[in-house]
Amino acid sequence: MLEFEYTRAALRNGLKVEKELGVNPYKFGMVGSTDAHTGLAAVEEDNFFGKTSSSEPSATRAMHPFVKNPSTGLEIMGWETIASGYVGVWATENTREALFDAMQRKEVYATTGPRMFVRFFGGWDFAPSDAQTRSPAVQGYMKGVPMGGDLTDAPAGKAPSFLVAALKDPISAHLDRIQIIKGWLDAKGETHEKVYDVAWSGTRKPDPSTGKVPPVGTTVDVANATWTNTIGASDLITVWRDPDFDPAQRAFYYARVLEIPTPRWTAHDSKYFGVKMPPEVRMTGQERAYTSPIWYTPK
Amino acid sequence: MKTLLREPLLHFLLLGVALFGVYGLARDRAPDGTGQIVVTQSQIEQLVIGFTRTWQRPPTPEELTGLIEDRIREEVLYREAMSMGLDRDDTIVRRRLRQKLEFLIPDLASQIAPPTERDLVAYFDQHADKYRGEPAVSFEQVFFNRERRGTPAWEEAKSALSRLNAQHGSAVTPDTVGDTSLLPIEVTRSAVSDVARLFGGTFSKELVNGPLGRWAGPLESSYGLHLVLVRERVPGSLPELAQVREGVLRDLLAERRQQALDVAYAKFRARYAVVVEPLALAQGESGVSQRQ
Repeated sequence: MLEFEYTRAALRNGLKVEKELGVNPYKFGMVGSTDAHTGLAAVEEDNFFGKTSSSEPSATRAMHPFVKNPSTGLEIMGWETIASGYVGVWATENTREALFDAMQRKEVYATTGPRMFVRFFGGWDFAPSDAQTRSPAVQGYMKGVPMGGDLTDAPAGKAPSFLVAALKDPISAHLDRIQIIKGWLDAKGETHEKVYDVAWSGTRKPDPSTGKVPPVGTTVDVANATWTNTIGASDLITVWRDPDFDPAQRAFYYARVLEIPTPRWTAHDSKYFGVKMPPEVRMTGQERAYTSPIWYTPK
Repeated sequence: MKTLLREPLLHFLLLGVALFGVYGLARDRAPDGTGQIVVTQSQIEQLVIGFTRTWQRPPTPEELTGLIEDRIREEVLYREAMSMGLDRDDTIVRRRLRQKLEFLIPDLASQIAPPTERDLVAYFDQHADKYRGEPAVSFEQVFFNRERRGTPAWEEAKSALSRLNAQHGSAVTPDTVGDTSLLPIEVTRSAVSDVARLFGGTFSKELVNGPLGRWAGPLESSYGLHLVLVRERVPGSLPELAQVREGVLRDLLAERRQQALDVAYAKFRARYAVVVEPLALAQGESGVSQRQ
């Protein structure tokens, strides 16, 4: 991972800077946007109008360079651009004030296109039964802080627990798994990160040595640009407690939700225009959502 | 030298120079014959008003002189351009003139006969469906997760249904039967289309047809099965004219403008014999139909 190119690296650097300066300049929420210059919010895989007017739908757009800079050698091909994304906002009501309040407190999440619901709460006392109530969010707000929030002052002997849940987009793909990504700063001032699989569909067993859950498989029919919801789950929910918690270390936690594989816009283009894509072109992908982090800061 | 004299480009250039010379001599006067440009007082006032609107203050004397100079420059160049025929066969000019006429005709028409109260009421009655609100629904729901329960989910939901509806005896509450979900357990006065967007599947269609005031189901959504208790159905109501008056007036005027424009266009069009020449098709091309 290139240090200054990705969100997660910035979150890690934020912990480092906070230790030195007393303030974390990279304490941001996660929102998704299109980066499109077309004026269109059409970013579904089957309705992707490109990032710029020069990359609007055509039989050959996937094979055109999107960025080509001879002086730096940087080249991004058309097919590498991604049809995304959206921002989810947990607002108390659908008004300008409530939406901006929610963004201000970072109670937001990003998706690469599907309109999934994602909840993420952190606290000290979440119990597995909280993931079985009819209104998990009520438990979430009562016992913890939502995405974008802060935890501090760890009770003796307790590790932070997280109530995390996702509901699929009613017209999109099933869900593969929920992951929680933790980043932390050790005593030597080095940052680290770890990805935990915390909830997944079906009866897959995590690898005992790595903890990784095997891939969900695929139902994608690339030629016809379709898939079936015969694998995965329509919703996932769990309570997870950090097994590696050290109350002296600054940390952040955020949730990532993965859909089962679906055809990318390149597969839709290939079918619609009847063109054969070069072998390097990726035809499927796993759409996903990212929540704003919850930060733990030692007192 | 000989070859140079035979060069067609040279002939062309010489002829051009000669033409311009003759042209220049022939008309050193203004093309409109009068050779006079008068900047009227009202035009100057217009300039001042325009400037003030943009800058939130009147122009200084120097600025006003500049404005007037620019106005004169515009007039001179405009007249010269017109006399050279630069307005002809110009897409932008044609489009602008068409636009002007299309704006002008309906505006005149609507000013001649502004809609009366009776017109407004009649239009509102005729187009009532356009102003009707969407039906809304209030309900509670209990979710049954088919992925977790498997095939018995349907039967389990059915049995929960009868227990929920039982008047006496088994005291079950919605909280003790269904499964966890991020879907709202209670929805209040939500538009049916919003419910459809949230639950997917055929859920909202069945919801608006089911019984009122008692638990019913199971209904199927994109997520699984649901028992629902519909508390209230609010039909899409027709607002009073007073509530939507502005919109109705706007719609009525828009309709009248369009009608006026259509009538005027038909009259204009009748003045012309229109000939569309057949399209010369390249060999092998076909399938391009002609419209007369």
